[in-house]
Amino acid sequence: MIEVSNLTKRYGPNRSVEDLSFAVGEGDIMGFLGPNGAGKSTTIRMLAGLSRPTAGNATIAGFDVQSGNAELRRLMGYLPEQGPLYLDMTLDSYLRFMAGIKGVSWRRTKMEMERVTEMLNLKKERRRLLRNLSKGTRQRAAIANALLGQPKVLLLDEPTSGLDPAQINDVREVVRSLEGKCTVILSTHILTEIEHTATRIVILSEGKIAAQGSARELKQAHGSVLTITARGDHEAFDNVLQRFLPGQHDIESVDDGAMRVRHVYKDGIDDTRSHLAAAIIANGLELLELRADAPSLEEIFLRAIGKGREAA
Amino acid sequence: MTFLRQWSLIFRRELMAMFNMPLFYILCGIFFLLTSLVYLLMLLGFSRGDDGMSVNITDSVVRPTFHALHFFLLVQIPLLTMRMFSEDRADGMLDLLQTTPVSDWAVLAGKFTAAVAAFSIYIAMTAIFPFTTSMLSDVEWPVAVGSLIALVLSTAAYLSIGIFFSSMTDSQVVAAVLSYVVIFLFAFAQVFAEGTGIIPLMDAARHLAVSEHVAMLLSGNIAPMNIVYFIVLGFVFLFLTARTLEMRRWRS
Repeated sequence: MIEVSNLTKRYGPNRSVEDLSFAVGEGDIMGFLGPNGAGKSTTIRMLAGLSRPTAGNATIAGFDVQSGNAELRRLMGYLPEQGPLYLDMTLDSYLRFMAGIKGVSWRRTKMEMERVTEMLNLKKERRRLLRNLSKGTRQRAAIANALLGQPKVLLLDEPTSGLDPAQINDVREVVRSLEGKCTVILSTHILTEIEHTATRIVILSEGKIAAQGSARELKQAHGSVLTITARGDHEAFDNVLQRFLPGQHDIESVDDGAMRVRHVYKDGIDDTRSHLAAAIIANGLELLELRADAPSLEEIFLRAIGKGREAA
Repeated sequence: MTFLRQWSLIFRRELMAMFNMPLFYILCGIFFLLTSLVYLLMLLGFSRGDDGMSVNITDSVVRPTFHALHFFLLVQIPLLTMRMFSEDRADGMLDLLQTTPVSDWAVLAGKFTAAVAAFSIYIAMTAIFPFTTSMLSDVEWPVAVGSLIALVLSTAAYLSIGIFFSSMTDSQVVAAVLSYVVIFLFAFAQVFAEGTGIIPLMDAARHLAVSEHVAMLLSGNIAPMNIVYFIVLGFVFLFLTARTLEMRRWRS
């Protein structure tokens, strides 16, 4: 649905986004993760057709994003970073106005307004002036506008900014409910927002892609940590480790004469774990702990942006 | 049909925004206070025969009043057009509109016609002056009608200039200042050119100056040339605005 190829944006000598390439399948939710200034908003603005790439190209549903094609704009819902609204209008009149602007028929407008206000829990606010609403409610109104007309592609730039935890959860549920129905690109620097909603993640750092894939793929690529703690003969412990986990091991001493080793692995070692446990016990060692920890998204993110900064 | 629907939505939105602004009513009040004052002073002067040669109430009261109206209007226009695009640019609303199927021309036409409609209310109310005068004496109606046409046309042209500068910047103050400079240049080009004493410049300014064409319409000379002048002037700035909106998309 969305194809981005070697997309680059420079402002004079300053590089904002460099050589981005990724694809988002129909109905997928792509999380665009990166620290502030990584180039997320710039990329989304280019996809929305609001900024011209210095090099490369991007297509949405086969339309070049630079074409300004009205059909493409009809397919697309966009939420800018600071969700803009006409504050002198009521929520109802604003949504009716925007539905008309988006080409939603008169007949469908009422249904659409019902649908989006229900989704964003805004029913009670419909007759209120937007300027009198709280910041979080205004942000939800801006998201409701992006959802008007059932767009096939949704570009959400920091959708949960200014929301309280309960509202963040509501918005996360709304985005998750779109999976399979709408292709979503969701930019954020809040990790939990991505972890719970995105089917695919692109991590940006210094304008470049530092890592991409599904959460599972990223975790696999960055490796899990197997922690083994045992008590007994040091040499026997080392021999068992060499049999099942070949390589150099740094065995550290912990309290009460126990030994601990941490082994980073990338491939699945479910079978190895059970054999390793059995061998430790069979060698007369007391097995105190055998735990596999997948890296958190935060660890992956920090490692990825660390590498990105080193490369830059 | 799509264009008409888009235009009508933007038109109604802009008109509502204009009527929601306290500034609109403040300026409206000041405008009528000043114009009524000018009208009464002219009328008083005429009744006393201050100029010693007045035999025609149209020349002594109606025409000078409309000259004053024209000046007050051109002072007010940048204050009301400065927000028309600048505000939408600054708060991101223009970006949002430019990602929807609405065309730049529909947005522009909606905003421009809403501004013309709002100012037409001002101008329609000024019809009270020739009507009041006609109760006192005979009024030359071609002059009165020409005066109203001059106000509508010059206002539309000034609005297009104000809207153009509003489309160029996020700052409403900058938009207003630039509009004043260019509107005053067009309005009083002849006065500035006469100051230089350069004859070709004076000739050119005579054709370009709004004040010349307004003066002709105020004298009852509703010639097509004068009307075409205002239409061309307005269209040039509307076209430049459309180009600015298009270029903005690619320069960011």
